[in-house]
Amino acid sequence: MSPPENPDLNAAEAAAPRLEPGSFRDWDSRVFYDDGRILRALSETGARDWEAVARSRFFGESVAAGQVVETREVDDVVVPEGVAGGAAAVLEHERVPFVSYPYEWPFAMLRDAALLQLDLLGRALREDLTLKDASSYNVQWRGAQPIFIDIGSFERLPEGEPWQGYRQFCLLFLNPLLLQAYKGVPFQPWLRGSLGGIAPGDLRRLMSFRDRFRRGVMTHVILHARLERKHEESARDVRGELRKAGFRKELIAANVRRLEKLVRSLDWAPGGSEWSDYGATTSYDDEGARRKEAFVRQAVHSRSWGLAWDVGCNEARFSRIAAENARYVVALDGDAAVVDRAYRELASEGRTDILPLVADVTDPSPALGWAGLERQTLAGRGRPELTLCLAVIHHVAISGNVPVPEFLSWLRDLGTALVIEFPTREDPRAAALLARKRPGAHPDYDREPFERALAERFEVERTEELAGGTRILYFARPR
Amino acid sequence: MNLAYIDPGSGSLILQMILGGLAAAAVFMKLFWHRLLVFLRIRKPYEAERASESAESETPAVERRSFERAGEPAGKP
Repeated sequence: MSPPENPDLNAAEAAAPRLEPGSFRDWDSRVFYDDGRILRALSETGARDWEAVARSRFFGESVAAGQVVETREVDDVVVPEGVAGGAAAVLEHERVPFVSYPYEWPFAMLRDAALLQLDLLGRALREDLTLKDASSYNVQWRGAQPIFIDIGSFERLPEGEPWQGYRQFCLLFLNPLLLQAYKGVPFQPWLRGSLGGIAPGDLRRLMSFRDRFRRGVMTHVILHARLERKHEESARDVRGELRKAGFRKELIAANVRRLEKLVRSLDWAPGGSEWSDYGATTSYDDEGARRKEAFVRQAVHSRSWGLAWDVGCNEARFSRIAAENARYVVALDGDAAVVDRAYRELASEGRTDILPLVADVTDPSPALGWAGLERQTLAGRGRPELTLCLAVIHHVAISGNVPVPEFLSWLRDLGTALVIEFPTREDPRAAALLARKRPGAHPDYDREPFERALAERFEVERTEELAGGTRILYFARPR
Repeated sequence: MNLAYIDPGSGSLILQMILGGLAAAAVFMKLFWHRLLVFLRIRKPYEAERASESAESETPAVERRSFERAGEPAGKP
C-alpha cells in the first residue's frame, strides 16, 4: 500500500523522524516514522533475524498472500535519537489503511487474527524460525483481511526451547475468545481495561464446574493458572531444564496445531442483540429505502473521498455505498453482534476496503497505555473526510443523553463532510426511545433546533424528507 | 541463552512440556487401543495398521491445512 493520500491520516507522524510511542518493548526492533514512512530500526540481533526471515520461503509466500505486511530494507533514512545503540539495519513497511485494536474487534475478527498468528508460527517453525511473542496488537486489517505487521516478532528458533509467546497468546487471543465463547461475556471491555489481556488465574475464577470439561479449559486455563501460581516466584532456569529434558520444536508444532483446532472450534452466536434483526426491520418501505440509498450515493459521488466513517453502520449497507467512492471506509457500531455479522459477510466477500469495528460514538476508544501514548484515540488514528450518521442521532441524543449541539460539534471538530439523518420526535423509533424518558425530556431533540445547530456548524447542501416527513436527510460540508 | 523481551512465564513453559507429554500419551493410547482391538479380533490387523499409520502421520495431515479456511465465515447456521 502506498503512503496515505489523506494527509490527515496519522498527521502527527508527518514531521521530523519520530519514534512510535507504542513500540518500545522489544529492544531489537523499534518502529519510527519519517516523512510519512513507516520504518523499523533493528539491532545487531534483530538484523540477523531479519536476514534469516527474508531468506525463508514462508515469509515470501505470506507477503504474497497478503498475510504479512510488505517490507523492504532501506538505507536512505536517519535513525532518530532514542534508538539505543543505533541501528544495524532499517526496514520500511507498507502502511495499513487504519489502525485498530483488539478491543474494537468483534469475536470473529479476534478469532481470525488468532488463526493468522498460529498459521504463521506453524509455517515459520518448519524453516527453523519462530515468533518471539503473540500480541494481538501485531495483527491489523486490510478491510476484512487480517495482516501481520510486526516483522520484528520473527526470529531464529532457539534450539530446545518452548514457545516464548505461548503465555501472551493465551492472554491476548485464547482467553478472550474462551470468555466470550463459553461464558457469553464480551471480551472488548476487558481488553480495553487491560492491555496485557486476560490472565489464566482471572479466567479460571469465572469457570464453573461444567466449564472445566469444555475443550481447552482444563489445560490452557486451569492447569495454566495453577502452574503460574506455583512458579510465580520461581528463580529456576526452567528453559535450561526443558532443553536438557529434550524439548524439541515438534512439541511446539504439536501445541500450535492443537491450539489451532481449539480456536477453530470456538464460536459465538449472539442472542437477540438490540440490533441483530435491525436490517430486516428498517423504518422504510421499499420506495423510502431506495430514495435514502440514492441520497447517500449522490453525496458519496459528489467528489472522491479519502477516509470515510459510517457511524452506526449496522449491516454495513451504506458503508458499501461509501466504498464506491472513498479510499477506505471504517464502519463503526456499538453493537458487537451486528459488527460480528457484518465482518463475516465482508470477509466472505473478500472486501479489503471496509473495516468493521465495535465502537460506541458516545464512548469512543480513548488513548491508553504507557504515558497514554501506546494506543491512540479513534480520531487520532485518522479523521474522516466523509461521515455517514444514518439513523443514529436519536440513539446518541436520547439513549446516550448527549446534547444534539455537542454531538454536531464533535462531528464538526473532525472536519468531516456529513450525511446525517434526523428522525423527528414523531418517528416511531425516536418516539419509542422518548417514551422511556420523562415527558418533555430532550427539548433540544427536535427538527427546528437540530437544523439551527447544524447550520451553525455546517453548510447544508441538500436535504430530503422521507417517511412522510418524519425522517430528514442532510448532506452538509463543514464551515 | 536467547532471552525474550517478554517474560514467557515459568508456569507457561512447563505447561508446554506437559502438553507435549499429553499429546505423546494420546498417540500411544490410540496405538495401544487398536492393538487391543486386534488382539480381541474386533478389528482386523489391516485397519489397525492403517490407524497406527494415521496416528503417526498426523503431523503432515494437519499441517497441510492452510490459512485459507480462516477466511471462511465460521458462523453456525
